[in-house]
Amino acid sequence: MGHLAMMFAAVNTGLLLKQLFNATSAVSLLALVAIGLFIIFGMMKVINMAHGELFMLGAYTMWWLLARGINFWLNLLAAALVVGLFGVIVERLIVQRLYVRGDLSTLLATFGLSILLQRGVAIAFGDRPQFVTSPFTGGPTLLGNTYPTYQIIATVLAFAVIAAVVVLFLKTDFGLRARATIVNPAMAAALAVNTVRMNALSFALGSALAGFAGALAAPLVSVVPAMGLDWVIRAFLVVIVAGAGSIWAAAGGAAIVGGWEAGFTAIYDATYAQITVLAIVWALVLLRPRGLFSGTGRRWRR
Amino acid sequence: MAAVTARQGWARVGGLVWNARGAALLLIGLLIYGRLADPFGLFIVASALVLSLLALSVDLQWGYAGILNLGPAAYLGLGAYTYAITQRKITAGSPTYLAFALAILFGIVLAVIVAFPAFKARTLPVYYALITLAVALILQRWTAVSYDLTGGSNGLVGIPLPDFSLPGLDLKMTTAEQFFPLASGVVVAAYLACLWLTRSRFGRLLAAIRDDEEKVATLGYDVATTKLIVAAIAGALGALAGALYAPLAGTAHPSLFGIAFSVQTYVWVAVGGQGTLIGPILAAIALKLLENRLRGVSADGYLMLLAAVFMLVVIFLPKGIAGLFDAQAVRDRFRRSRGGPIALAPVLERPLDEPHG
Repeated sequence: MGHLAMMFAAVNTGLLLKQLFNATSAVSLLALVAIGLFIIFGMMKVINMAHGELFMLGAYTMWWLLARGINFWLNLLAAALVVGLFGVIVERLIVQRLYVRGDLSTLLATFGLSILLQRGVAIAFGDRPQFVTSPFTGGPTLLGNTYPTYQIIATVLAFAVIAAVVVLFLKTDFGLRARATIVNPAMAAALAVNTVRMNALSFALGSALAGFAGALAAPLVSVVPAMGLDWVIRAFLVVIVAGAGSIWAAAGGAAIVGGWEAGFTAIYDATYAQITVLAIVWALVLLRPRGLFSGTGRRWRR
Repeated sequence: MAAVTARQGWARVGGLVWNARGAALLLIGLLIYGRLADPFGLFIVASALVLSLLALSVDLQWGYAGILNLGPAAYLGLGAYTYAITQRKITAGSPTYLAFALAILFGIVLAVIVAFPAFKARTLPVYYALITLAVALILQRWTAVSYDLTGGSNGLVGIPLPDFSLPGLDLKMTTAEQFFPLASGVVVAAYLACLWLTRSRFGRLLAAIRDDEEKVATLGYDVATTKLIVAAIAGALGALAGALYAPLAGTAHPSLFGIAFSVQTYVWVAVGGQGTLIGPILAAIALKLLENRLRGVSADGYLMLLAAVFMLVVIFLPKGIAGLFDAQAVRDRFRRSRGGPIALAPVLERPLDEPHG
């Protein structure tokens, strides 16, 4: 009897650990997608509806280059670069024209762009899922569960890139100018910060992060043209729940949204996980309309 | 509004009649089309008319109140499934009054649930846009997995045509062709109702909220409740569109909640011109007929084309293609180009030079 109880305890601990690992992995990728959105939203007060499609383009870049026999790790960089450049074009052609209007035109135009990209990729490569093989197979086993090596590395890499972005924003000259532009664009411009260039750079950076995240996630998810929609909605829920108060808010919001979704999916069901996470976020809006970690926007100053 | 003189009162009635000329022309055009077209043409235009109710709901929110609901298809799907399920499980074989009433009721309830936190807590306008998009997507997912109620990803088929029979009066629809006059009547009535609404005091309050929400709030108006009412009316219109679309198509499918319907609706409103009411209806008919010619080529290509047109209209023609022909809109554009919405913009466009080093 005691033996059986011990076995149960072992199984449950193992399962719990595995679920915790899956949740952490999901949160790290979500945080990576959301942080790009945060930078763009914080800087330009612009919502890029095509952010999910940038993620999708990153995944497709990885798939396309990998199929041509190019090294996986190089492709990660290539995806960030390609999607970052694409972001520059989008900023130049669409966002820059519209955001001076100060209304929701940017949101609408990028909404159109997201459909255009999604269906364009569907025409080019079809709607069927493309599989990206991970550079590793198998992984260490702990308490009866296997932890895929690639998933571990992807999680660590995602957190490392997030840390790099945080350092970039808090410790460098670029970060200082960027935060100044976020807190008070007019004052930053008066103090000789080239806010137009700041906007363009932040848009490129946000896009590159989305592309990188897409390429990094490609072996873990099914790569389809419509894959971006889920991610953009999750990332927006992160923005809504956390508020664009600081760079840390992205991580906190991602932990809440991604953690709940992964946990609820493990316990019950993926669709209801999405419904409940939406309901929770929307209820939190009533309590904290500007987000849980919004503060007064002062935190960008540190 | 204090004392309205008799002359002003008559002028307003006259103005309303003059504004309603669009409805008269639309009705005449539809009557002629109804005589000339073949059954398939009637079906296409009937579905354009039904879906143009959804475009009206978007135009009311976006064109008049400046609220962006990116998931109008949520109401289309909700209305369709409510009609279908009610008519299957509750009032099978009986008149469809309850099905329509429940669809509209659910449309209002969903709209209020979704809009309440956004407007009462005074969140950023983009939050409402994002949540409405998410709601549509999640309803689509949920419908696709709830086999018992919704038939899952197969959807529901064999949805009966509307039946407005009263005791002693047989008004049961028997053929799909009879849908055309019904759709025409409903759309013209909805157009007139929206016209009346937007030209009323309430409508002017909406326009004021669109142009400067803070100022309206400062003047003591309840901005949140006003926006909530618009969202509820739009929800009712959208659900009505769904409740009419399900019997017209004969099926209800999770794709009704899909992004394709939402994008299509926005394209109709953008092309027809937001804040015109009649524009989106005409655009719906024209583009639906065009779609019918192109769709055989490639559905993805058609959606891409719509998205591209939408982007171009948003970027270059903020008043829609119809705005090109509207003298008032042209005047507005010139007026707006002098004083932009944010005075900060010129400062940001020409920053000072960066310091050396």
